[in-house]
Amino acid sequence: MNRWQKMAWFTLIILGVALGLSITTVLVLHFAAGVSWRASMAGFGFIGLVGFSRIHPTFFKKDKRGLDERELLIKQKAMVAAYWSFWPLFVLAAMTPFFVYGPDGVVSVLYLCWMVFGGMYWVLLIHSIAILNEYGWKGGDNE
Amino acid sequence: MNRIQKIAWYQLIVIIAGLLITGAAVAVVVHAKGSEYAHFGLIPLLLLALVHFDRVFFPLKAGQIVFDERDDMIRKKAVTMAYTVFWVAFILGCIVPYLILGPRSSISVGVLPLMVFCAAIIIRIVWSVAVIVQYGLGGKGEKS
Repeated sequence: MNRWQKMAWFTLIILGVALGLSITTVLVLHFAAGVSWRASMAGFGFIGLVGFSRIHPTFFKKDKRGLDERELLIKQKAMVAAYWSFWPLFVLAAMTPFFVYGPDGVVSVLYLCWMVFGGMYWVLLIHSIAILNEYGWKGGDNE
Repeated sequence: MNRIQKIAWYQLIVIIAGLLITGAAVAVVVHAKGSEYAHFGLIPLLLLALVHFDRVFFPLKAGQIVFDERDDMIRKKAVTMAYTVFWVAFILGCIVPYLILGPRSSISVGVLPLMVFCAAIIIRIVWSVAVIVQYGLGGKGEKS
């Protein structure tokens, strides 16, 4: 398994742990502790763990040889896949309140922050999946 | 000048012309009729739909090579640059209202479609500029 595969797996695991912990905390707070849904949403604070996915260069050191043409192509493909898949979601997230609340409706500015965090989560997820899809999900001839 | 360069120039010219004509139209309408009629000045924005007609104006000729490896690399780089700039603009567009208005504020839902519109314009402009800059501003011996 090469460095990019390891980083992609690392990111996927962090994303999974962050979302898993967030949902579990929300459910526990609401159903076990009897906290209101609104207050239970504080459990999504665990999404902040996603920030750790950006420290992968600390664990997986760069090769001295740098990126070859194939690796560069895979990296670019993954990035394009991530952003292209984000675009329809962005349009959906932006247009849905307009159609639901009507042109005179209002949304909280927190909705915009949710769009940013949701967008970051999605882009990281698809980027990692695309890298693993291109290199292969397991170790192989990509060392 | 090859086909991709022509498409890039075409998109850039259509977008800039569309925005300038719309700006002028809004100014004329506001000056003549008052600000309550300003939305009529936005009608020239429909000109921006012309960016989707690039394949009509620059069709692939029979036997023409769509793109070689270098073209492909340039296109991919341009797409990456366009989405990178879009991403930064998207985050700023979402976070700045939060920072300025505060967490308990609300915004009109009309702002959200405007964000999509601006994002689409940003992506098209950056893509076009990136393609033009990477090929070189001129069109020396670059036919395909």
